[in-house]
Amino acid sequence: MKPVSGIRSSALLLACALLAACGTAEKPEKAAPLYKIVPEEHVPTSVAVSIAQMKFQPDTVRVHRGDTVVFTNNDVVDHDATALPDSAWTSGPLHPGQSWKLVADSTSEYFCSIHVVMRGEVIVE
Amino acid sequence: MKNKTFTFQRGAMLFALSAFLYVGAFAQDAPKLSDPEIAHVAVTANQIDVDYAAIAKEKSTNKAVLQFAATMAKDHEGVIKQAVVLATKLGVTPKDNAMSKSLKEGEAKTEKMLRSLKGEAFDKAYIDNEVTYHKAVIDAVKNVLIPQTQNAELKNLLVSVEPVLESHLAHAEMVQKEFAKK
Repeated sequence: MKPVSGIRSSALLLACALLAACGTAEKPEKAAPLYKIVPEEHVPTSVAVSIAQMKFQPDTVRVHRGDTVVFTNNDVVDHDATALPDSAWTSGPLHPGQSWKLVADSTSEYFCSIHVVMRGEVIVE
Repeated sequence: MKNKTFTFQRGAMLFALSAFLYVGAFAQDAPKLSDPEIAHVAVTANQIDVDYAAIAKEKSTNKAVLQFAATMAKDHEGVIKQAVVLATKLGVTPKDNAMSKSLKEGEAKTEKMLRSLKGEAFDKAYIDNEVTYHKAVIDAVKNVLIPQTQNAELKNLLVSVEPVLESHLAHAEMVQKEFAKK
């Protein structure tokens, strides 16, 4: 065995030992974050629809799922708000001064089944 | 049979047209009416459409016609109730007058015509008359009753009723268009 070879193999062993030591060394701990990122949650809100002068005012409302749409009959005759095309939901007859709440679940067009020319839409975004 | 139906339909149109011209003439001449007279005209005009709706309920089997008639009865009865409550509150006794009388005369003729019809001829005549009648009443409300009413609350009631009449007209015209497609 030549002396040179002995030195080279020793160096290789040392390098391996250093690498092994580096691999097992504990990593320094990261500092705890000062803030936490959380998904933005929508706080349910309420939107008013006035029924007056034979119209839904406004006739289109944009809401988020879970928001409440409050229909109030401010007209001189009875009205209702009924989902199109299959009456999936309906307020039933609302006398002047009465209100009814819809918790918006999905986009739907609606009409007054008493006065079929009155139309509106709830758009869930 | 076709000729008979056509004659009935033409007759219905003529009756409706004459009623329209009669009330329209009032609007143009703008007779001077007191508040008690205006209250009487308002109640009479509403009651006439309730009466027409009762005939439709009795004679028609058409779903669209029956639905329209039910709305007319409900809305006009509601307006009459409000007018009576308001008149009572104001101490106003509705007073018969020339305009109310002409409306009642028109009703008698129209009722006779409607009762002489049946089936689709009745449905069409009823809806045609509703279109014409509402046009005439809207004209009278806008051009005679509202401008001449002195009491603010009575005026407000008439103003708030006008969109109801406009909506009835749009509804009647919608049904009328459906008949025209047949």
